[in-house]
Amino acid sequence: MLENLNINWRLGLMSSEISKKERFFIRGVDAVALGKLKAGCRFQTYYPITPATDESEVLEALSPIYGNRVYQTEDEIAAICAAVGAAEAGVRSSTSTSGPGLCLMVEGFGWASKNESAGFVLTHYQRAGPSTGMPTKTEQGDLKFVLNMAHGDSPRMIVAPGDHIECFYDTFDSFNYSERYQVPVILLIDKNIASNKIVIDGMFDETNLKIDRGKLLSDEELRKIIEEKGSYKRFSFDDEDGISPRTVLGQKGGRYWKTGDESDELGHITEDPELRVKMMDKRMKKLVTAYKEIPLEKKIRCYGPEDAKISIVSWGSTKGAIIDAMRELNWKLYDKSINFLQIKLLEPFPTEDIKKRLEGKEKIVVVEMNYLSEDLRNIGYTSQMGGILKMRTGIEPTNYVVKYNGRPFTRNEIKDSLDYVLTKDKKVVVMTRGI
Amino acid sequence: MVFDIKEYRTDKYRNHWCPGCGDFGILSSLINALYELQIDPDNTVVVSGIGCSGKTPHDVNTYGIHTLHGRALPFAIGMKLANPELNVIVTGGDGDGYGIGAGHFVNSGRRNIDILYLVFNNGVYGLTKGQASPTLQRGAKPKSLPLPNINDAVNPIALAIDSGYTFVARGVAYKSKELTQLIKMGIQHKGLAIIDIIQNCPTYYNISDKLKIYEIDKNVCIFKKDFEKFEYEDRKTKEKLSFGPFKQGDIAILPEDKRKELLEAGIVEAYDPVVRYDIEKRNALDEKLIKGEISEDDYKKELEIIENEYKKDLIKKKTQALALSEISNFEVLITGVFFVNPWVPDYEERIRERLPENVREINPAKEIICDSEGKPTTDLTPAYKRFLV
Repeated sequence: MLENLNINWRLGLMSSEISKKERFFIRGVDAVALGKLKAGCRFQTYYPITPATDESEVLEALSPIYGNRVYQTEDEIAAICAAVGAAEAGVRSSTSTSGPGLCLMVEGFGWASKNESAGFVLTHYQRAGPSTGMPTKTEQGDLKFVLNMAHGDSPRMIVAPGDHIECFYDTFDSFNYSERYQVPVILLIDKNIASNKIVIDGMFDETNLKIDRGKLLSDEELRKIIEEKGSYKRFSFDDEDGISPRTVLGQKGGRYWKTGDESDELGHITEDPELRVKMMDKRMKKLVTAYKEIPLEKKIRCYGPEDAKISIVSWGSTKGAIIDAMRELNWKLYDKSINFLQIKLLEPFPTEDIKKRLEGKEKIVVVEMNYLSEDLRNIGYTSQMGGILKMRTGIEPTNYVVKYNGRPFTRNEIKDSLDYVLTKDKKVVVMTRGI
Repeated sequence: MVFDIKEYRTDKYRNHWCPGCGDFGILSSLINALYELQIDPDNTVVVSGIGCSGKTPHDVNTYGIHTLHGRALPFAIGMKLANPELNVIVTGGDGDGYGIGAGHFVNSGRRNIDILYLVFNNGVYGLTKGQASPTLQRGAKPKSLPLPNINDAVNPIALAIDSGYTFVARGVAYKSKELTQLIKMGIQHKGLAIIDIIQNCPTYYNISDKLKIYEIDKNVCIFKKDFEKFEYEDRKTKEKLSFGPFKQGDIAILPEDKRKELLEAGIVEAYDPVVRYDIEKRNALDEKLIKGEISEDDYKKELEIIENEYKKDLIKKKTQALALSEISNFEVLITGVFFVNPWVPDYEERIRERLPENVREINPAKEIICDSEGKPTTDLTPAYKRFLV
């Protein structure tokens, strides 16, 4: 069943409503910065890069109010390492970067994943790649990269907000995920959201916000564990969900070791084959735990008639253009009803929830801002989300609407591309508008 | 003593170092220093990079974080900034710190974070079977190099001083007593301290039979006046050595007894690594200003004199340390404290200076971010003002 979540996503600039509330003019980076502070994040690192740096500048400007630390490092390698190190000390910490910066962060990210770092969130603002690419232009070209970055199999979570407002709430949730599941979380945003401004009426609604610090042990709880088990083990196998209770640096009696090498329950280096298998199982199991626990509305969002014949599947900043276009079309074209499935949680991928909503559709149209051509599709290639959809659910998209000229989709482009899909059954529609 | 020495050593883990490795000496000196200073192991973290030295934290019974190749310093800085109350000690190798981690090595100096960094320096990458490291001299040929080393060596002491490290020393892995003392001084130093520790790699680069060790406190002096050439006969070896002539200001490495003799005669002075600042004069001056006994203009003039004296001494101490480091290498090894500047504010002080009083005392790691129900304690109202239309 498709649910119609009536959320307030409206782009403020287009709003004709006049509110009596105070109004705020914010960019995506501002929403993320506010979300970080609200979540209790008090440590941010960064190395200057477009367009991510703005977020750190906001955080530094607010540091006289909150006492949060903003640390400008000598490179992105130091940025991720310092943030992950800070998380070990118990502070909720983060770093933010863009394309080439993330490339440098890969090894540090692998370390954080292997060592079950908790309370660490990486904001990644995608820009047009590869390499330096077009630093001030937008793209959704890093999905495959963030899904797989770092060598070996390593767990992580990826959250992709679709607009400014989601940026605030998803940032807040990301810290909870990271502490609860003890995995690094990537907040996957793009230039389109990062630097564009919207007006919001009043502050974000904070009534339902709750901080979840996961299995962070109090001194009392730690004492109990030591009494019961004789000692404390940071990577203990005792918990069915794969998540071991954790202490932080400086905590009395909670000493632990961490290493990039495979380790035993205490955290010391091991190459024992049995321990290796158990430890891998424990680490990866957290993905299953997260998959089961996270509520549906935080995984996917559905808009339009649930029994539509055609489904648009997309993620991230394309949301605004798609919903605008669909509202104009009243969710149908040539008498074919259309709905829109927005995927928010990209890892662990909400396979079953998506499968349920896409099975039996006449057409599944993936819309995203990355590369595909007709020729490549003919030899088995897909767009990035298209490929992940196919890989995880076994459902192959029937059509792709892509754009990679660095400019965001417009609603007319969405309408026109659907026209191509419906009238000509064009498999790959490449949009190229924008100056 | 509250903590027994056994408390500082792990019983569950044994490292994989080769017999005769210098790392053993460094490990025991580190443990001795922690014990002698009675450092609380629960409030201490040993952070390391990759290499043989990287395994050190697993043998020390404090919190132990074994990180990535060359990245121990950034990790450690994150920990220290997040919780300034922690004692943070970094261990790493020469390849780790001066090669792959050189960028972090230099930039950490700019911040003077209150951390002690121990570099296990043996001239080779031991764990990957003996390739040339950044401190290996050109032309040297350790066992596993097919051809002699083609690169020049970095001078880590000079690099550290130039980068802004405020405590710079060199030790040697075998002389545990001296090394323990240096580590203790490094821990107690407020600011970024480095001890470059020369050690043997018995498997790939055995330097123990070549070493001539001189201590700064026993052998190094500076000539106060010109002095002619002199002969010296070593009492033990009966070897005849000749020294000089010297000019005023020359730094010399002399036999211990000869140095003592010249010291007593007032011809040389001992090597003094510490930068001086006339703090008493400064305090008196500040007091005068507060009491209104001196005009602002006169205060500025007087202050400039004090600051200039400091700058002169800083340049002098840096220059003599750089000169001394140039003659210290794997064969002629000079150990001891090369340079100390206690007058640079550490990073934490700089952060606090920038923050208003009400948030200055915040320890980020210990900040309460939610109540018992999970409700966030942060009030965003003042932050929103920034975005008001």
